Amino acid sequence: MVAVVSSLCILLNLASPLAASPRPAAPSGEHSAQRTIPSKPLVLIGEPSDNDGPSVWTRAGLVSRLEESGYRLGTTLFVHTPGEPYGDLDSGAHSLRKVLEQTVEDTGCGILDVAAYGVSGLVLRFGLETGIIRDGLVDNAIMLSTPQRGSFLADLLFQACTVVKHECMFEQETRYSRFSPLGDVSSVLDPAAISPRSTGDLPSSLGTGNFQWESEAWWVAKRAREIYEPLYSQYVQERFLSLPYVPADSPTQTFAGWIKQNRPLIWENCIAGGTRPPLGPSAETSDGPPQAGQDFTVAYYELLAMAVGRNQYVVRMASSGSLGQSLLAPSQGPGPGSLKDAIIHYGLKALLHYAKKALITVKAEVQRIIADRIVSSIGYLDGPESPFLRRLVKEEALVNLGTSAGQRFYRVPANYYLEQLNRMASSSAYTRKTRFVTVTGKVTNLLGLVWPQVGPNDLFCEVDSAVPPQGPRDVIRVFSGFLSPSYLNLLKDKQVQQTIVALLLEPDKTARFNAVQDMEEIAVSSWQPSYVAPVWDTAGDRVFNVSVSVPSLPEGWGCALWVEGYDGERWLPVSGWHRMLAGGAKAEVLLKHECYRVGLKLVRTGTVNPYTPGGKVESVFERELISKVRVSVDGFMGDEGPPLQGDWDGRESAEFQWGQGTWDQGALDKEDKGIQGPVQDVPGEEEDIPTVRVVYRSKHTTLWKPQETYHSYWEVDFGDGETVVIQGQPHLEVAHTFGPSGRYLVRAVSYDNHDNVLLEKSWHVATDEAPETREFSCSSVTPPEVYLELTGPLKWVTGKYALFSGKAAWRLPEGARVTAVDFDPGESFRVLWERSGEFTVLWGVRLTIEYELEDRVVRVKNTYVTQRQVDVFTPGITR
Amino acid sequence: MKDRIGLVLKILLIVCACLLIAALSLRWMHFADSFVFVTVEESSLNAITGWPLSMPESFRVFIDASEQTLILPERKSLFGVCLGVYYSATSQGVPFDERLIFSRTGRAALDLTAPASLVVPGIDGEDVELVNNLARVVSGKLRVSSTRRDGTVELEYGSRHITLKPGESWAELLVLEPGGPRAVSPDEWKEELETCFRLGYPATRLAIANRGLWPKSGVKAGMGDD
Repeated sequence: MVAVVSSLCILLNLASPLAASPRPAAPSGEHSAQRTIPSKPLVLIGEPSDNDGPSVWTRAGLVSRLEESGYRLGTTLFVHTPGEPYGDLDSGAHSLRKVLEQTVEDTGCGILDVAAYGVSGLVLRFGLETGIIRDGLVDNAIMLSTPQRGSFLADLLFQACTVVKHECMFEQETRYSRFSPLGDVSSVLDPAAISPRSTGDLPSSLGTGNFQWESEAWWVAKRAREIYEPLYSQYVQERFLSLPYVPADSPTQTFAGWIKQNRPLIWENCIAGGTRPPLGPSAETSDGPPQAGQDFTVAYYELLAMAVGRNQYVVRMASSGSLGQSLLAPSQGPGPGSLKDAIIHYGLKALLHYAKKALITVKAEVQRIIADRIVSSIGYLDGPESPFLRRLVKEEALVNLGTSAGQRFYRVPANYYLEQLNRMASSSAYTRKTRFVTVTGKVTNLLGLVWPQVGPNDLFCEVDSAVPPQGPRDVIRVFSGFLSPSYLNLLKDKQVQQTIVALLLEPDKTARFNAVQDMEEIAVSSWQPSYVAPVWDTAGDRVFNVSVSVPSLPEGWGCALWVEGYDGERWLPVSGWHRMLAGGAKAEVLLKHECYRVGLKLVRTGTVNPYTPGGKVESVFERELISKVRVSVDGFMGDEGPPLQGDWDGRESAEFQWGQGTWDQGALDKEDKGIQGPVQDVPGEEEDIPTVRVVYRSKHTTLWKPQETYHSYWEVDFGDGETVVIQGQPHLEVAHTFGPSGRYLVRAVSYDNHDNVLLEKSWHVATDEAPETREFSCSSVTPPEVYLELTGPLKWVTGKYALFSGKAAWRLPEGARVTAVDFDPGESFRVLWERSGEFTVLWGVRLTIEYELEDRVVRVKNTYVTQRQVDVFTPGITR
Repeated sequence: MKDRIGLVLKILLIVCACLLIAALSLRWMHFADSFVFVTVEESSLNAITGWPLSMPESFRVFIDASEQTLILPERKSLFGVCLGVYYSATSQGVPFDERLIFSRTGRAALDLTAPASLVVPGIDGEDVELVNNLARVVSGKLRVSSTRRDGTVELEYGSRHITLKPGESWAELLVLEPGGPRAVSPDEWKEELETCFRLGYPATRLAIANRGLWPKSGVKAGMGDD
């Protein structure tokens, strides 16, 4: 599977513009040779802890393992355990910078390797990404079990702390009325006031310069009290207690799923559209560094308010009722017969009443103490209000709707601060000098039984959350086991220790070098880079044209291609020379000097933690994805010019053009007249072509069924009581006259040919004193024109492999692009018939098409099937 | 004579065994690809004393009736299964009990009177019980006494006999008043529920739905499996 790793001969050319300093004469295969002596100091950073005992690195045995490998404690190996919590990411990064600068001063070495465990990895990366720690100071940043995109545990903890905080506030606010003889807690607001047409108007942004938790608490309390608590009471009544009983499609639908289904406008306005932070300094651009105060999105605050609203409803129900009602409530058995009996009877009732009221206070206090204890037991947090806890909330939250197989989860941007950091990190991933190494564990996902939205994890953070935005040279390692290595024992794992040592001492072992001559298929991985370099075996003005053809890739993946140059000490990406190639694309690079090489790596372009409809949440990084990329290197005598040239756009666009209907039409007109095609008894082992064995006529060579998704009709609600249904018209243009002095929410919903919602678009309309006619237009999904051609024999014999190949071409509407093409059984495939007769060979093509429709992207998967009849004979035997 | 009687008895025994096997085989053949799926939902007004922190929102079994899909935490062998009964118990939307029974005989029993439990850690790590079983108002055990080939199920709930054809459902809202349990009329359920809220009377709705014949291919393992 992996291409043969050939040694690469790089001869340093002192005249090279990149070769800043001479490099020792490199024998063939130098890059795969093991360095046994560490050339750079290594700093090990643990999580903050007030424990004065041995560090986590020492306890795990990694320090001794590194010493065995040549490191010397205090000379080339330094261990740092912060004694105080970091406080926040920036303050933590500044403290780490001091530690690293001190190490530079002590060792006199200008470049370091750093291994950081847990949250310290996030602090280290924050420092590197934001420039607090100088770019280039750290060569390898090894981050172990680091919540780069947040941790689900932090999410649960933060949510629990928020619920407890609001329960304590509720308890304090209602204490007087609960204990007053004539008082009672106020009842839940009437859910009828929140009509199905309500958009759940959000409070206006506070926009305070300095973030204050009181503002946030006010926001959440207001939303919980006014929207989610009343809706929860309605949810409980309708869903669980109503008569007559109407069976729900999904008995396991959650409150969030119920809101999405029954209050779609609130969902659309507050959750789906709530991608920006409502608090903190207002940000004009989304590209800048993260700003303190811009912690969470509106959507996440809404989710918090939902949790608070639910809890508040339960607490309010438990604490409702006045003393009078308790005393006058009918009781079982005969009433008191004497004054003494009456005093005992009503006294007990009053005691019970006050005990119930007091229980609310006790419960709130106990929960607060529990939450405080949990938080204070975590070394890197200094309290439930710690900004650090906020930074660890997941970047994106998967909301469990439980509505149906197709709508089980909903992805919501949650941690805006972390999102900003990672967005910034993505844009600088190709220019930073530090190589990020992700090491994490994966254990059996028992937590997924309780929280189905949690993907594969190490009991602290999900595998996909441990991987930062990937740069070209970055490396990922995931270690799996039933119960180990989890977050707690990752460092003790011998394989992990071996990997760390190997990454530090044999850095280039992580890359696959391919001495490519002519044409070769090389393995490109999602976990580590692969390199292509020609064999510079002749001196002189030789020039190499490196051509890369990327095969069809799984959905959500692309192939990064970049050029690295050798600066005399290490290989670094050449600025501006990188490109993301989609499946099926092609690119060329002209290398005119031996100090350049081409790097390739599979990079995730889709979301992390994807989920299958109705199934579980998956991880895209838990396993190494490997794809074979065809590379050809043509050498010729060079001419003057820059040492590096590339054709990034020309070839690539030409490849895309192939898929847009520019193929040779003659191929369609070809007709096979007899037994044609290659005749093979056994397919060649060198070819990776799927084979289908057919015995019965009912056997299908593909089980794919034709299926297309496209716009069918519009349902337009003008918000003034008028609704129209418009058939067809993928490009909607509709006008409507609105009454005077009104505010209307116009909503257009596009339904597909299966009656499912394709997209929704809404407009706010405010009219003056006169009636006004407004026009609305928007677009939906138009089906592409797709042509399939399956070539292969029309007549064949049993017992021999017949080769079929297919071609697909398509014309797409404007704004649409094909992001993935899959074939079944394959682009080419063989069929072996075991009996004679008339057979049908079916071939399926699945196109993943993204439609860019104004402010959103809609992705559809269409399947097309074509067929070919084949007469199969049994050959006669002549003796 | 004795030998003859013994022989006849043996033959009878063999015939009975054959008939039983044939009957079971026929049933299993009939339900080779599908099974009758019944959901039982018990929802109480105040059977839970507080919302547990970090409450798992979801049930372990995921049900999609529109797609007839059932996703379980682990794989199950459905060979010979002709009946599936899913039971869930909640209070104020908080789930505290869940069971899934697959039956090869077409019979199943749910003891609704058995105490349910939802334990959370207290301040010193001690177990705190959140379910108040006295606030669950049910009439007794629920039994599925037979499952017919057309998907009809016969149930016994307390002293009642209920027959549900595919797509049919049955529900009852019981209120525990000082005088004893009383069934609430569907016409006045909102008002009666308000009274229960006000006076703190326990109330429980038991809802049974025959979801019809579901394909066995729709039963999948997911969620937490590795």
